[in-house]
Amino acid sequence: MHKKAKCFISLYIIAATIIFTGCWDKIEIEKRGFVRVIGIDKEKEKEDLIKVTYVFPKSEAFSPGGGKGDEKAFVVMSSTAKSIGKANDYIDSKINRSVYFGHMRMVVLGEELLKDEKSFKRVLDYIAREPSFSREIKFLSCDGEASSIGEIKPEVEKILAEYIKGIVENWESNGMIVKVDFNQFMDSIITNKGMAILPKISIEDGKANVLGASLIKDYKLVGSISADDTLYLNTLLGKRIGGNETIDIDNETVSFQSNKISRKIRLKNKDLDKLEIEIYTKIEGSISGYEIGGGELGGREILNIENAFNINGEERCKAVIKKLQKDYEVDVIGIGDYIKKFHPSVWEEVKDRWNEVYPNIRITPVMDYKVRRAGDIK
Amino acid sequence: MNEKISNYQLTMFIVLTILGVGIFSLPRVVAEATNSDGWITTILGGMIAIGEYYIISKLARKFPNFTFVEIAKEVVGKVLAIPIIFVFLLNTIIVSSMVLRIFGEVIKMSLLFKTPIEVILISFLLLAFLLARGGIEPIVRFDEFVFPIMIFSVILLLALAIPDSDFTNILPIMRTKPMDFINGVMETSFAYTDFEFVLFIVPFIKNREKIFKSGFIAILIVVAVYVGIVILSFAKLGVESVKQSMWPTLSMIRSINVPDSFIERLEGIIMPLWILFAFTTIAPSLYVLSKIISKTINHKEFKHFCTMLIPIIYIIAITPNSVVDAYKLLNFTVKYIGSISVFVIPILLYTVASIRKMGEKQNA
Repeated sequence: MHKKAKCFISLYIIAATIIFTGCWDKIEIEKRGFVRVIGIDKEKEKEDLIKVTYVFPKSEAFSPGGGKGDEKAFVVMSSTAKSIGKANDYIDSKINRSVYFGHMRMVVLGEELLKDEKSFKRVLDYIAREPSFSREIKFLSCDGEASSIGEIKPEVEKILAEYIKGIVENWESNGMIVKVDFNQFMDSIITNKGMAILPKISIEDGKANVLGASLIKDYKLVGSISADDTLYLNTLLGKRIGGNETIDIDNETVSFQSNKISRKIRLKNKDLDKLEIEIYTKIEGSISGYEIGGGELGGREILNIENAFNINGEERCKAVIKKLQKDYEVDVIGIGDYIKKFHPSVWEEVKDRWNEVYPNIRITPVMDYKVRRAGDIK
Repeated sequence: MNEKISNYQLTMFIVLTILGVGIFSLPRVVAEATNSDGWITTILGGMIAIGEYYIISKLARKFPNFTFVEIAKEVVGKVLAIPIIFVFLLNTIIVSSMVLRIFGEVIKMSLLFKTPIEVILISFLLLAFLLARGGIEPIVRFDEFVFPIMIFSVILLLALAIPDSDFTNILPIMRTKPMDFINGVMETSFAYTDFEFVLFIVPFIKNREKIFKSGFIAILIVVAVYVGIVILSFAKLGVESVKQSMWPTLSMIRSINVPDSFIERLEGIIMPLWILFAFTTIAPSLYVLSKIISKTINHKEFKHFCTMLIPIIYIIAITPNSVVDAYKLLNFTVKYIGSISVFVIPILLYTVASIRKMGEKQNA
């Protein structure tokens, strides 16, 4: 290489490092207000306004031994504006840090907001559009006002977000919480024109309780199902892992705990007027409770227990299906999705009048409980 | 420097040149055209690209010591060659400018929020210029160096994206109307352009008999990467959400959840790596553009034109008002000018050359 070229290149590199080491995006971590949870409500008095509640963890909560005593490890602030973006701006003038959504964990949507189609759509659009929004967030619907999340006193954990997130993740062990992540929720809203299911949180006296699920149809909250129903909904979805069921068989109380599930959907009747769907679920698990001294569990007893659970499970599932299908007319089990993917020719016929077809489909749950283990006692 | 390119290097060069910013929007493009059949159209689009590449490699083997400009001049004469070269030049210059702009927008949206886009574009262009003015050998050496990194990062990314995905989203299969399907395949085949740059590096290739094989393998690798990205975007986001998303691949990367979250927001790690994808597209473009101009006016030093091209590309890149406009311009160019320059022109040149019995005889 020529000397000139060498000289040119070294000058170029030196100049480039000086000129192009940009400082625009330099940001000190102390300047960032990490929002971990937000609650969004519709302002009651004034039309068209939303109230956003932000929960910032205090920075000392993260350092070892920080966050002394009973003091809350987070700061709660709220502001009211026409859009979330504007609300963020108002918060920036109340706190010395700038709102940053990159590490968001949870979005809690208030009841009033879910009932108002226009505001709800606006909120959803902001969340889907804003690139800095973390996609690891979980959505929760709130009984009452979402701003009450600020009143929660977390136990065991210090940080509110970790506390609620921990509870929500217990769907795996108790089966009574629906598992919905960001993409599933957004896709359900977009694909099914405003239909979705959300886990429900209720807050009372500073205690959070995540149980059951809220049903959303046409961008509006239409109702909710109880915790027990959610267990069977999860069963029908094939998403249940844990969860106990307790029933009485011949005056003896038996509990069954599941640990594995497999689900198959089948279209039994393709006749357009008499569509028939069968949901076959195989649930494997163990006996988690019997009466002590109740005798040995032999092959016949196990068969009896399995049968009793099959009947009970089918009844409960039928009740859930009736609620979802006839009362609320929401297709959260994903029947439409199944027909679309596996029977596209049937779907072509019914997709335009799906709302009328769906309530009249015969859906039969078939349960197959398998007792694999019986714990420590024979 | 011996200015010789081995066939492995050629494969890497083609892979990295094709893979550019198109990968960010590809799942949306195929979903809009053919819904859940998008992954099939991606494969078929790749097959069309292989067909186009076959013609180009035939043409290149007829004139192994010539670049595109010299072939055109030789085959149709100096006067007629000018419009042909101009179409080729126009396509490459607009496409590379738009690639630059879209790349800048992606970086601004996901990494450098406050940095002015002008600074991102200029610094990136200057860096590409530094590589391009070194000639073809530094470019392929650079490709050789980054290729393993890129393939590793793509595989890692796809593997991490698998949990929490619903692979039934790629169903139903083949339910698109035939016309939509053909249209979708054509749209997808545009995602594979830029392999025509081979026409400029043929004189440097060691084993010219194997240029089709090298390119064939390269396009297959690209098909695999594209199909992986499309299927995982569908599985992770859902087809309808992919249609709504500006850059579904980016959304897919953003929703990757590393177990136990010892690491959050993975895109911060992946995006800087992906800068290389745009870089290995723009640097060869600069090289090819300056080669075209220098060969056309018979100037010996292509490096001079490299410098002159920087302001031109920058101005074209900065002209569109928004990302949407940039995409419109890019799609228009690729659809009309691009298909002429990668499809019509090579066929034309090859046919004329065959009729006039020009070039070297081929035994295969």
